[in-house]
Amino acid sequence: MKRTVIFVLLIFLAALAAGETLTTVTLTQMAGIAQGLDEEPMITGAGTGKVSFMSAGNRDVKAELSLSAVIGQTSLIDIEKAYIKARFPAFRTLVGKTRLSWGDGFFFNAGDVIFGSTNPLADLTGDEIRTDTLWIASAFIPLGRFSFAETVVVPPQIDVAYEFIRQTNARIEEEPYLPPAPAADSAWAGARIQGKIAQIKTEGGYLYKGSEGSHRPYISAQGNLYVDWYASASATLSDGTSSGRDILDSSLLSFGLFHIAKPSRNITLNLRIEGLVSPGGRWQEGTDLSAPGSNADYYGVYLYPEISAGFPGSRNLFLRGVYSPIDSSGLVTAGASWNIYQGFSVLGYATLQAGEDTDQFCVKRYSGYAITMGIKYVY
Amino acid sequence: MKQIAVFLMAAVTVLSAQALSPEDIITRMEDNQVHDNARAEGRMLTTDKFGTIERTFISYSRGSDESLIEFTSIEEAGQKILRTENEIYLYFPDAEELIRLQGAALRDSVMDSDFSYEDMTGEGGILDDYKVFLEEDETVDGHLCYVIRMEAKRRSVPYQLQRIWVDKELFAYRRAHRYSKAGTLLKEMQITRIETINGKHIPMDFIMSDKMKKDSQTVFTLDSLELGIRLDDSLFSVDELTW
Repeated sequence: MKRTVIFVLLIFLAALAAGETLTTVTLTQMAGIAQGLDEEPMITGAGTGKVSFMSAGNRDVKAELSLSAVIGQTSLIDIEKAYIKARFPAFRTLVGKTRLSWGDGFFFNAGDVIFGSTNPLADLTGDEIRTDTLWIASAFIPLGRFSFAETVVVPPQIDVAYEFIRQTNARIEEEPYLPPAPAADSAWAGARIQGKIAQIKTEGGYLYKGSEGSHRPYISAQGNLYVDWYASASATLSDGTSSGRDILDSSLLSFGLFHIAKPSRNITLNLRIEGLVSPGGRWQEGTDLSAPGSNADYYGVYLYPEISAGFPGSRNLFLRGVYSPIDSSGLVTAGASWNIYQGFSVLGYATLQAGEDTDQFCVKRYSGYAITMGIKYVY
Repeated sequence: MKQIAVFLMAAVTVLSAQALSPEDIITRMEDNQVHDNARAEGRMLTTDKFGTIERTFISYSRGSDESLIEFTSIEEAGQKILRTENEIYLYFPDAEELIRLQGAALRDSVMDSDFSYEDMTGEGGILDDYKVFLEEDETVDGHLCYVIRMEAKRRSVPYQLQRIWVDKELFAYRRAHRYSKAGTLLKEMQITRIETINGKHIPMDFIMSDKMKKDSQTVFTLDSLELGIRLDDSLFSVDELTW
């Protein structure tokens, strides 16, 4: 069976390679030192590889297959994207594994009700921080040049390997010991509409999460008043939600300001500050937040400041972090990149958590500090 | 007799050319260089002391206000820039993210080149945005040019002051200098190749130097250009941008 799957995959890849396909390979090799378990420093080193096959040549049908792998002593291969989309006169449709960007916000986005861009514990070293993908089916309906409606269905995400074991066991044993596959009513479904009102980009939407039995409406807006500004708000309504207080406790508000400045002849500065407010989160210090499990284990407010500087010769520096004002702890990441030759870059990152043992961030924790350097080549 | 006729024709031509106002020159230049519909394929080569980085693209434009650029080079494949009216939208396919640029963000450079997003995506009608003044003629690369100083009518235009050199024979740009309000030279554009397509004289190769950067320049080359083609209205929309 395993050989058959590999054979079919190879035929698929060969077919892609033979057709009109744009192939992109990204290799990244990083190595460094970081806080390990038991507060002992550990050596880190791993390579990542990504191969993307994108269809070309048909203006009305597009497809992409992106495979990524983390390569250490053992390797972990993932399908980042695998989708087909087709365009018809009045609408277009997409089926497969990819990402949809709902709401506004770079790090904190309360409007991202599908992927949930609100977790303050994140790796800040990437160009894109929120890159999760899901298997989805979506339809996009243009309503004007700058307005559209979009619907989405997120079926239960089936773990193929797990399902294979489950079905194999079902054939061997009368009653498999593994639990059944996800039920159809655990799917998610929703829609959004986006347009412009008085030069302000405005968006509203809703997602029903069958797996949680919750309803998640949201609104989002983006505009410019000397600096670019954006804000999103969402709430989670479930069977247990009965009062205005419950709705307030389940709500999330994110906001951000962004500005580009040129302080000297050779430097371009990008300045960004974002915030996340969760009325239902914790507003007093004292609870052990070393291993948060649910939203109630996070504080009620976080800030995300970021400053990045671009220099001539494709050299960039950035400093970004997450600050928890309630327990005065934080995470800061400094990064540098230099695109020396076509597709070839040198990268370096340093991350430090600052806080006490029971705080949201603490240097003694696993990866409480990390310094990594490496190279990346895209071809 | 024939010599007299030729002389008279030449005199009339010179007199009529001399009589052109700066507004007439701009109008004739825009008639020559602004197209109802156009599709182009080209390259953007950014050079510094380590070498050259090439980015390829396909662009579509309608008039002077609407354009869509899609990058086709491997590292940037699928990234798009849409300009319409006073806004610029960026689309990044990896993150499936649509970003709307306004205000100062429009002056950021495109992929670390010497072009800003506004430079890449053109500008509105010159006479709507600038008061124009004719200066002394000058010669650029052996071509006699009108020199026109352009002063912005409002603060929201990308450059408050510009000086352009317009070929007196072809009515096409030969050179452009773009200044800050204080008169500091910000960018210099030099046209190195002009081709005649469908009777219009089109700059095909030009060099942009950002004077705020040291030792940096970007060469912009159009490998092909089609004019007067049919473009669907939906091409300049969020639908096409995120497709």
